[in-house]
Amino acid sequence: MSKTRSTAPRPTKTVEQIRQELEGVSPLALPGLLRHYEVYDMEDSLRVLDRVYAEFGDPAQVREGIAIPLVTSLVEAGLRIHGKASPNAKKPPSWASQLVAEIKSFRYEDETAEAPPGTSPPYDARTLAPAARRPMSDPAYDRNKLEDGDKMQKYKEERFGGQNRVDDDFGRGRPLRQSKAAVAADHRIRSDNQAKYVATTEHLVPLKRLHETSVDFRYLDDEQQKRVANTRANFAVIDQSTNSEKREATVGEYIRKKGIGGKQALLMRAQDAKARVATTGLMAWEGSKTVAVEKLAKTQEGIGDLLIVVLVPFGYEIYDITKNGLCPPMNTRNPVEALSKRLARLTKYCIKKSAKAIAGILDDLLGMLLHLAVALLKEVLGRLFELVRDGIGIFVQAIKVLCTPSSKLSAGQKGDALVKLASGAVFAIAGEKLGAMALEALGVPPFLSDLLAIAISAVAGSIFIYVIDKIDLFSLKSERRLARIREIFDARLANIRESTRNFEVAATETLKAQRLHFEEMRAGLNEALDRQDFELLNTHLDQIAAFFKVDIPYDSPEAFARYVRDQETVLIG
Amino acid sequence: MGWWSDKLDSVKSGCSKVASWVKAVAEKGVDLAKDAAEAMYEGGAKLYGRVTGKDKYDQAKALYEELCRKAEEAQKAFDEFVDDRTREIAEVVDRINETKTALQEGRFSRFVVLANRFANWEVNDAITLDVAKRASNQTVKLRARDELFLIDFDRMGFAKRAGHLLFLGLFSRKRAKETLIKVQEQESVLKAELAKLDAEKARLDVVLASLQQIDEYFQGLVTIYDRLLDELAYAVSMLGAAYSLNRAAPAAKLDIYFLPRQHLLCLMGADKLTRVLHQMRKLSYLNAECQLLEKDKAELADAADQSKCMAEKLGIAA
Repeated sequence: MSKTRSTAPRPTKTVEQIRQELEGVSPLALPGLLRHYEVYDMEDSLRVLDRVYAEFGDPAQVREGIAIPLVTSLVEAGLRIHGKASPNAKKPPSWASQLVAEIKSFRYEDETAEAPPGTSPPYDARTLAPAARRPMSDPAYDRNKLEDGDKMQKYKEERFGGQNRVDDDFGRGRPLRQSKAAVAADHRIRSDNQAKYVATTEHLVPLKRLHETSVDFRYLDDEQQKRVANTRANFAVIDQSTNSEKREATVGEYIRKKGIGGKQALLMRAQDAKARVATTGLMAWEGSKTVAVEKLAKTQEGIGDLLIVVLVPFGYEIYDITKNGLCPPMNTRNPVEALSKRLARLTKYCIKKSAKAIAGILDDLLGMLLHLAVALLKEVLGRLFELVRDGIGIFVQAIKVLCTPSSKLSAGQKGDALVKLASGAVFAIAGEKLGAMALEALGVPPFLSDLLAIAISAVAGSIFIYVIDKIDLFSLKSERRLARIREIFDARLANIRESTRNFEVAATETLKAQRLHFEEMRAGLNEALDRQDFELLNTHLDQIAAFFKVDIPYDSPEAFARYVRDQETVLIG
Repeated sequence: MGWWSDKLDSVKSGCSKVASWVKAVAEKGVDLAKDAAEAMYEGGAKLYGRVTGKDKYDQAKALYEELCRKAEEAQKAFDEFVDDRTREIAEVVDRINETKTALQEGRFSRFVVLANRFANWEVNDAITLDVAKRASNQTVKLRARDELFLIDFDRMGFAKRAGHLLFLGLFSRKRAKETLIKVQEQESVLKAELAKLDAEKARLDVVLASLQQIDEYFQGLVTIYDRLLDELAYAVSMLGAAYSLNRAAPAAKLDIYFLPRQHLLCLMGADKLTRVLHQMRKLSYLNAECQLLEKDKAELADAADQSKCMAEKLGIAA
């Protein structure tokens, strides 16, 4: 692009500067100089106007106009995905603008070894706070934390089912009563033998053992352990006395300790096996859920980081294409070749920068997909809520725009803002939310549908805004141009007035000074002639010659005599 | 007769009262109808203007006419000012030219005759006479109407107007607003152009003042030159008389080496002033290029001398 002259006026010369320029010139040359002196920036006003028009119609600026919103939309979309992936990550509000600035100044490593001066430091995924992890299980065993009295009571009540007596689950053939009171009411039972008839709920797999086993599923927290331990399959209704004897022993240990055999031992072992299978299975399920969630968090965090790694060069490519064209920066005229080159360098860069993140993602992909499938319904409902919330937000923004005073926003600017707000909302809601739902319904995984929907809505929104800008429904571009022209011409006006004032002052002062000097010399000449003092006369004539910048080829009477004698003819002129 | 005539008169006056009342009512009705029609017309025109953008077009038109009027008035006043200054400059230039011409024909010839008693003296008769042309051709330029007005409701047929109304100004409102903005831009241009005219006026004032000063330099120096030539003539006659007393035949030239110092200084002074006046006579005062050329030549010579000295000091061969 050829360099054009700036629309700004030339700097105003001070009175002193102008006076110095004029003083260096012979008084005889002054009229001519003043006549052609550039008192002010004399450039034709209409030409200045044309340059402002050219400035506003500059294709590079137009391309910049679409490139920046496009890249900004993509960055914001990326950050929102990143925000979803790492909800606890701290994101300063300047991130979006920082990233856009980074994209604008981005260079591939083979293009420049160092980042251009003045650019922001490259984004470092480590600046994100690590994703919140679930609290690990408490290593110290605390029975009270794991026992669920309500469930145990409920189980016992269900087992009785309104009856007064029930056989114990260890097959002793001893009819149990639901409470101590019921036992006491039965006179056939001796008072010292009552504990053998009071029903209690027993954990077949003891809580302590379960806690120890949960170490193998290290992600299980106390709540999960409590849920596993108090599953129905782990409950048995036995007498209080047996319960006290058994304590933290397993059923097998208790059988061996008591030397129980026969049918009763078989029944007890069967109950124990059933409980162990149930609790282990449940523990595995809870543990795998925790693992899946943990991995998902890790994976999403990785995706968020990867996204940032990809976002910058991807945004740069879009910015570069829209600003400089597809082919010229790649030194080719073939669009396919240029696109291939761009894709190749983008891929190379991304692979280099994000190899670890990609490996992590692939590793955790399976567990993550499982988890996300479960969360789909919840997500859809959440989106609908967001949709309503966004709608309200946009409505509030529109009201704010309408209430802005006319001195700050013209009617055209308000109209333009509202159109863009509405269209932006349509694209955000329809494209992002509903688009994501549609993509998910088509079987695209949620994180990918998020990415695609936001990217599509960002690009479509940017293009729509560009078209709106191009149509310029409210002549905003013309308003901006008018404001720019007024600014430029106000500056020029001030410049012309000040320059003229300075010129007038400097020229008048110079003329006055020259006139005074001449009058002094003239008076001296007349005086010398009156006094017949030719020495003095010559002194004043030398001053006159110097004043008018006329060369005199001699400097003394002797030199003059020599000069005259040396010349065959003394020629003046 | 009397009773009938009275009755007739009263009936007549009653009728005339009724007629005047009816007339007044009718007039009022007509006025009301006119007002209503006018109000409706105005309201309709306003609505039409709002919808189609004609209100903006009207604003643009009024503003453009105002700008053109201002530009025209300013240009006219400026042209009158320039005419005055051109006339004054021409008067000064004519006086300077007369002085220049008179110098060669009278004074320089006299000096040569007198100086030739001592050696061969010649004064180049180069002379530059200035011609005062129009002092400034600065004009106020605004864009032509056709370049600014993207839409013209005044030259629009009924069908087109109706069409714009039908489409709720979809194709006209924006163009009307653009037109208004373009005309508003010209307002800024006009302000700058008017400031330029003021600057040109200031320039012409100082140019005139500087030329008047040159004229005064000429007049002052010519008066002194005349006195100096008189002194030189006196010296030559005194020397001639002295020579004729000492020698049988008068010498062709008076030897400058044997001149009394007073007469030598007088001759030297006359030579110096001749050189100054010759330079003043040779110059053009309305053409900066001539002056600058002379100045540039001197500067170039100085620069050459300085580089030569420097080369000598450094021992570099030229």
